[in-house]
Amino acid sequence: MVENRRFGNLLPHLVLIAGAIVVAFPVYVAIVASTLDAETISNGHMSLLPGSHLIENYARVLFEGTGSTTKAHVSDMLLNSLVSALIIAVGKIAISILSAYAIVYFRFPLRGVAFWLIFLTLMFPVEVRIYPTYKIVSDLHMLDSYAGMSIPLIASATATLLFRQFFMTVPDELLEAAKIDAAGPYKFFRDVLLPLSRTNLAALFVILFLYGWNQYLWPLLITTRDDMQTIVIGIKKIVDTQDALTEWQLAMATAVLAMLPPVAVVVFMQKLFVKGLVETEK
Amino acid sequence: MEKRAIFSSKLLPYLLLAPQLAITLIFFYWPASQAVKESFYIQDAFGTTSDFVGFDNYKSLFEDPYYFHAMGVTAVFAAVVTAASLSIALLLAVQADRVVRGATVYRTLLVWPYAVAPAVAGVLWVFLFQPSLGILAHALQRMGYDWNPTLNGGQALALVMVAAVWKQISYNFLFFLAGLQSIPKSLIEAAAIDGAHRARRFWTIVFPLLSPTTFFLVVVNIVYVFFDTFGIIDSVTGGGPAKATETLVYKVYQDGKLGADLGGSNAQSVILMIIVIALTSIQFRYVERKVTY
Amino acid sequence: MAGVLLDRVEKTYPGGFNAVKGISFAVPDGGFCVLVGPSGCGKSTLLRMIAGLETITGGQVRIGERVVNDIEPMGRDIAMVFQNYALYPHMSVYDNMAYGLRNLKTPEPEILSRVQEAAKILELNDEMLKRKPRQLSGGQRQRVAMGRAIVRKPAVFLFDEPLSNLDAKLRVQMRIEIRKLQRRLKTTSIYVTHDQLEAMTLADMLVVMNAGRVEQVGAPLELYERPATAFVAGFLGSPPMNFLNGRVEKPGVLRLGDGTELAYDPAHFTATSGAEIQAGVRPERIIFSKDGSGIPFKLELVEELGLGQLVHGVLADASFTVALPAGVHAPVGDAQRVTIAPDAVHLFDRKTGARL
Repeated sequence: MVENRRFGNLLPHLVLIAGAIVVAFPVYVAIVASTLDAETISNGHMSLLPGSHLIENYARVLFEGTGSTTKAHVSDMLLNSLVSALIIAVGKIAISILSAYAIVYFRFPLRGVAFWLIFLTLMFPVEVRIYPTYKIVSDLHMLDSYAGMSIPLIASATATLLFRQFFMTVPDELLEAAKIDAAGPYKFFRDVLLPLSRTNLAALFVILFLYGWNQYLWPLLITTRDDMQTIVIGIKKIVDTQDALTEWQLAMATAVLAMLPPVAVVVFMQKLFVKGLVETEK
Repeated sequence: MEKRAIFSSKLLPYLLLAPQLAITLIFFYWPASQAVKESFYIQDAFGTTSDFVGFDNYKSLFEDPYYFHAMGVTAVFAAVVTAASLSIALLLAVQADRVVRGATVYRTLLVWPYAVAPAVAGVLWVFLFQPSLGILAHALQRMGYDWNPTLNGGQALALVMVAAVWKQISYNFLFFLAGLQSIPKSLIEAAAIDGAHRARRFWTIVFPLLSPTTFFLVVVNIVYVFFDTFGIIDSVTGGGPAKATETLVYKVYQDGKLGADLGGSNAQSVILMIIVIALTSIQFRYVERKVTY
Repeated sequence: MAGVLLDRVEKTYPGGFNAVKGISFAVPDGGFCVLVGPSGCGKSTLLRMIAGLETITGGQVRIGERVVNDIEPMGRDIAMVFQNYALYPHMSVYDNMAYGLRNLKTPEPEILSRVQEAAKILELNDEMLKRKPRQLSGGQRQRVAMGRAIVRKPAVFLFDEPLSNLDAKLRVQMRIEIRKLQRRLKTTSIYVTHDQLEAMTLADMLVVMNAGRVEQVGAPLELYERPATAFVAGFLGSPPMNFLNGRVEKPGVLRLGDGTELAYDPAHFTATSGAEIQAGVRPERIIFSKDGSGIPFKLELVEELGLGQLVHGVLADASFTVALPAGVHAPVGDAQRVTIAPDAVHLFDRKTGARL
């Protein structure tokens, strides 16, 4: 930095600390609320200090369920979220890396067509074709299943383009050396390309896990049974009550549980997260 | 750009492509084409009959005041959220770029909301602004402000925007910070030697050099408001009160829900597709090298 | 062990570019053949065709008794050392060397003994075998790349500019090691380089290429002393040969551009009187005359090499270099005269470049 005045160095810290506090505030309130009892919240005078009902509230949402429109336990929702997020992340990576391998390392008729077919899917986010897609999933009897929740979301151009771009940077000589070392397409992929893609795989996995975990519209449409709900759907239903009061302490406990896994992934795998985010947008 | 060294198998590449192409065709191209097709048909409530009606669905759409209303809401929403989240993120990124010590800590403290699902973010903000018990709602009411987003459409839209901005700051912050860090320090130093003060250096050197990032983020933020805020809207207001927070995507969902007006919903989908194609095409101007094939 | 035979080998790319134009030569079993030429002359393409990394669009390549045109690289019984080494970055040095053997289902104990043998030859210790390529210096990586080739015990080694990524000092050292290694293993080797010094010192058999064709094939010294074309004459040797334009006045006498006379040995050249020629003289075959006889030379610059001196100047309107051995000092003053022995003069056809 060019200037080095004392005051000039303090100001950025103040701005950043203020920013961090504002950003954290809603979550802090949620955490506090999840430790209070229903009474304290509903009389409208909750304080900003945690209460003593933490274990009670979390045990209740995790294993007993709430009095809201959904009777499912949050522990089941977490499991559903985890399974579908993992299928989406792993599935996307698997089909993308294979198709990128085909497009980069082989020459075949219709190669350009295949590339464009994949590439143009960027133009059709699920939101613009929800009902026709819903109908197909329903016709295939995939409603209320992990397959239905994940498979329609796993074809994407971004992951394929990322791998394609990475493969282009792998020196040609590596394949040539492998050919001389008697490695065919399968061995080259398994022994050379896959290990070299490790960081890219991990970074992409982080991004796609978040993407899968945070899905909302799609699982909302295709899950009808309580026991197939993901936690992101579940929380909305816990807030929605047919009659009377929302149990906010439980809703907030659920919200905290819904945020915990993805936020932990971002915080603890920040390097991979940033790399994934920047690379997929390149 | 092409590889020199390749394999020569005939069948294998098709096998490798098969899973992705199958999923793409079944869950992308087929439904997209169905949406286009059905936008020219009217179905009865039970989905048993279906009549070709030409552009009637589009016509009635453009005679529907609520459709124009949804367009207006989307436009205002997009403009405010993009402007607000970009400015806040830029302010924070510039500060983070200036601090020598603790930069990574600040980054951690500012990026995590990216990981929060839009629907969950919505619930957090609903709780803060719930008129009868929310902490911030009470604060507003104590200041004499008549706060009730469940009745006041403007307030509802404001609340949705706040939640949307809160979630989007982290993303914009990361890209701005990366953009700032890639500006050579020697340029800034040269400007300082040329006698430019900090503010002047920012607006004459740094900001112009950031413009590709800014442009890219504007497009990404518009796309975000169009599509990814569905969860926020659904959990905060459900499109209400009186459709005050109904965006184009939310309207597609509402109108097609329970098969109410599938033809109209599909016509809206088609229009959205055109908008997305336009937006992504603009985005590709920015990332052209990705499309050179 | 096997020789390599190339018979009218052609490479035409799909776009129509003709990179290799009907090349034929034979490398005897155990021979060290160096392909040398300027960049873009087709030497690397030719090597890659022998390796099976490029398709052969015409002619035949034989390794031993087999025509290998349609055989995959792995079936050709060859090993290759690449310019950038192409080591697998995620594998240890040991695994890099073992990979090819494992793919050929060689038993693990056999792999171990072969890798250790190669490591011993290349002076790579056990600790280095465990490292990843990026933890090695350039010279060590180069050895590993050689090791990967050695463990295969192939019929033919192919080298694609293996030393060009090393610094000058290491390049000389590795050059000597490669030559010693090849003498010891007696494996037929084909080596591509653009560095004429490397080519001269390594080769039993030198193939000079230019624009997709072979200019001349032979032992290095033979090419140096009797270059078949002006291109070969100019390419081999450093500092390069001096060229002077002129005409044959009568057998044994040339008339240079500025009217000076230059004598050559008519017994070696079949030049007719009046022929337009290019005369070539190697810089080390020229001496400064002290008695005022000889051809005028305008001295411009003296370069001190330690090993000797290079004297640059102008002779018969052409730039001209004289190389002096150590101990002989360049004369002082810019107006000098030099004498050139008639048997030091090479004659080439000015149009075709062919030796007359």
